[in-house]
Amino acid sequence: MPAVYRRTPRAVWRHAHGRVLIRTSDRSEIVMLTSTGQHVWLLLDEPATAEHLAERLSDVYHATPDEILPDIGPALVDLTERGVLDRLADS
Amino acid sequence: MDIDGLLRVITAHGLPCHAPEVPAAPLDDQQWRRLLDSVSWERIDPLLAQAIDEGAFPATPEQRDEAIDRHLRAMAGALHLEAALLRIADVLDAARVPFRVLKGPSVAHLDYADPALRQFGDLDLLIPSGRFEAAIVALAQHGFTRRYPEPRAGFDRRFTKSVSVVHPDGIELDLHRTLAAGGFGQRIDVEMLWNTSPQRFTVGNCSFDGLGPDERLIHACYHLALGNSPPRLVPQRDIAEMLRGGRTATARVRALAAAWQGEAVVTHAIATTWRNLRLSAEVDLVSWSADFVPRPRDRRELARATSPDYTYAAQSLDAVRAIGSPRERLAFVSALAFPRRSYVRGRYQGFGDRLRHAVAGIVGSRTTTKENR
Repeated sequence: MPAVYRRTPRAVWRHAHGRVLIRTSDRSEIVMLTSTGQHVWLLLDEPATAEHLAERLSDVYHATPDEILPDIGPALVDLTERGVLDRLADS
Repeated sequence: MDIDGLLRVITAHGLPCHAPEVPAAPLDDQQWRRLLDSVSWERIDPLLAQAIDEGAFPATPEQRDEAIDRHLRAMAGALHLEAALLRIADVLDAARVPFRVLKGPSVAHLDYADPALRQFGDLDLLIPSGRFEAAIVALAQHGFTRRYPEPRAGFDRRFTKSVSVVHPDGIELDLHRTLAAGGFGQRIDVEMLWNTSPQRFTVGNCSFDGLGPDERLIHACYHLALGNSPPRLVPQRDIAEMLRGGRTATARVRALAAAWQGEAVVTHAIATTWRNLRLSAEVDLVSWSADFVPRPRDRRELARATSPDYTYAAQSLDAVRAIGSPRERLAFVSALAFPRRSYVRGRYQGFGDRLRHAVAGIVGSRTTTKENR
């Protein structure tokens, strides 16, 4: 089963000028997301899989989920490494 | 157009107002630099960036980028403070100290359509009088230190408006017993603040209690009228947001203001906001504020309290007058006249100094103004 991602609990954030700024409770730096990272964050108001995100982003990017999925995976890994997303146990 | 006029236009951006006077073309570099400095000092960077983004304020591409950069930096500052709020909540919860979040984060999340439009530079919490000492002890165990010592044991719990504590990482936190200083602050029924329903908001998946909408409006009015002279622009925008949001109940706001003998303060703040920002929306509380005639005693006290020369001594005298019980009055005066050594150290060298300072304050000297208290 594919992995489910969610926003790190206790992350605080703002959305302005096409950017999302995030501060987690255990890291003092601010993470700034643009383009795909920004859209992924905004869509993750509920936990979701990469496939589900690709489906929802297909409208934004006017592309098929299959075309988008290769970009989503690395973005999710990057955001997880930066501490703003949690990768939950595979569903 | 002068900088003050531009600041008012920026503060009122997006609100219904009478013919805002916007410059026809981008400002030259010298004017732009002056404007940016004033905007940052007033903490309205988000509103400038939004006004430019929406085409309501002319700017060159470079000016637009700079305004956006400042907005993002301001938001980064707000996020650091909200992350600190989560840690502080853990500390106070563990010490079983209830609290309500005041001003910045509370107003940003409850009163603005988008919290990214409300900048703030510190944290303010309302603490019950009976848990004040417990809060300070708990925070001290996590690195917070008081900016000033307590004048005498029990002074904070009984009389203080607020106590400032700072953390080595630069976080400033004001612990409030009540909402304002001086006589108007002493007349606030603090228990009433705890006996009314809070309004909840979420930061980082955690729920926080803010004051209810009516108490929040009154607090913003006290902050505007009694906080700085001349009044800052952010509390004016806050009041405008609260009144246009339709969440306040006119009759209850008036009843609370009357109960706390603060009608002069509330009406002054609302009328100042509408006049200064040239707002045009018709709101019941604005009409009431325009027509309200304060009692002569309240008018005199408000005139003193809103003066840039309102000294700590004069504020203390107004507070003494407002304290009902003679015994409490004596305790208040004794604490300030004969404080602990630690309170005096670094402030005034001895009793003579304190006396001279108090006398200077009473006759209206500029030795200690509202800005440097």
